[in-house]
Amino acid sequence: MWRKQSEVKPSTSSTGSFDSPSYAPPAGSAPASSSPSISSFSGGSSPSVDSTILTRGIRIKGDLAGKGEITIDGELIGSVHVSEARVAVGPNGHVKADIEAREVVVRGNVEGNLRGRDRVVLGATGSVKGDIDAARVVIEDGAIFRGRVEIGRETLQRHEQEARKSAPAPAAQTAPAPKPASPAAAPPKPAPTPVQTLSAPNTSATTPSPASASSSTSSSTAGKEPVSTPAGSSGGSR
Amino acid sequence: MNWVGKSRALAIGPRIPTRRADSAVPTVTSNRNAENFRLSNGLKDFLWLIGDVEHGRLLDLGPIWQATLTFFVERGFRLTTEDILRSWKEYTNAEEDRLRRARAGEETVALSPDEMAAHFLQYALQYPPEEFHAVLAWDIFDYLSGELMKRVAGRLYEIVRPGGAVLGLFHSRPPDEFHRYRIVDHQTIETIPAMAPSGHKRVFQNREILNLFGRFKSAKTFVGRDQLREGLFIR
Repeated sequence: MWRKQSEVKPSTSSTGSFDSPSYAPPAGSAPASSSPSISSFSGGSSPSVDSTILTRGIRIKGDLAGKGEITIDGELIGSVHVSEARVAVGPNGHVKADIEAREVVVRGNVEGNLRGRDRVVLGATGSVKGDIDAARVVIEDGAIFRGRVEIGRETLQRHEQEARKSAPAPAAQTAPAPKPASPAAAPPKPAPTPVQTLSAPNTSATTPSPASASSSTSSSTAGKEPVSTPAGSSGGSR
Repeated sequence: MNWVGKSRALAIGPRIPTRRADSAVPTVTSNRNAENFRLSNGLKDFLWLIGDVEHGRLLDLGPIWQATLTFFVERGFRLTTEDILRSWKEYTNAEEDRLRRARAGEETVALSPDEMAAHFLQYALQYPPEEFHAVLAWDIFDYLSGELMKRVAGRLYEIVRPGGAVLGLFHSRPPDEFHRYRIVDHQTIETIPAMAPSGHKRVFQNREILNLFGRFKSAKTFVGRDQLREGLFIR
């Protein structure tokens, strides 16, 4: 049903069923005889060693895992794990899967959670229904997203792990420490997360001029007693 | 998030964001002019209220914007986005499709507006109780149907923590065009003209706004020169 073009064994392994019911290569693409539904190749301009492309019209049910870069412009249902490489969902891509990769770029449609060790990019034509967890997140104007974004959690965890490893034994102090020093007990405060933007260079000179100044009125709709927050409500843990 | 007895000067002072060279402040391009930016005292108070929250959770009921995302992430918030107007539009379109595709003679029951609202909320705004410290509702209540509007306000009450805040915008007259909103800085909102998912439904009277959020502990409204009212509701 599909054939591999390259002699190089792809680094990406997949399990599941492949289905290419009515694939017609888009105009301008390679001749049909050499047009791979799934192609794997080495080298090229890409810095990654291996790359796999699921072209438009291909439908896959299953799990993809490996080390090579994956480009999905077809349809995929399952999961994708390529922790050391990049996964790109093209404009024609429809993915119902959790994607875990070094970098995830979405310009198509994804239903699933995205986890980018380095970053997640949501392009202008991209649509994601799911949660994003990445060190950095880039959102282009026009992107559609429904879900939760958590940035820097993995980075924070890495820092905590490193801190645990490199934590020196509690030194003698003039004031007695209440407990043995535990890095976990005092995790480093997360640094401001770098979030990259694809927008044009910041024109800070064009300071927005206030269009309105406002007056305020206030009222209490349910009593005037002080509002207090339950203990632990600021923890943020679910 | 206990702001009782909080000194405003102390709270605001160190938290005023400074524009960093690498921050994702939306760029002012040729099609954006100064009229697209408005000072927002509601936003200023909103941020002051949630300024002490660490690892807070915020729900944005508009589309996702890099600028808004960056703004809150830099302040340690986890952002959840659900474009409720878009979801509602998709739902109503699907419902119309269902009715249109019904075969002749086939018994197809059209849902009443109230049933549609209830059915929609089985899929939308599905979050655990008291999940969020803050919600940016923008002007969605001007565009939602009456039944859904009340249900959404009720759902917001459930998913906001005690002491949490909801920021809403309400037009004083039917707007000329639909806008999306994104945060520029701690007191500036950029209004972005966009295609309206649905028509403008109503102009609220102040009393109607207070009634809509009657379950909330307190409400504060701000009126700008552009007659866009901002409502800050504290649970």
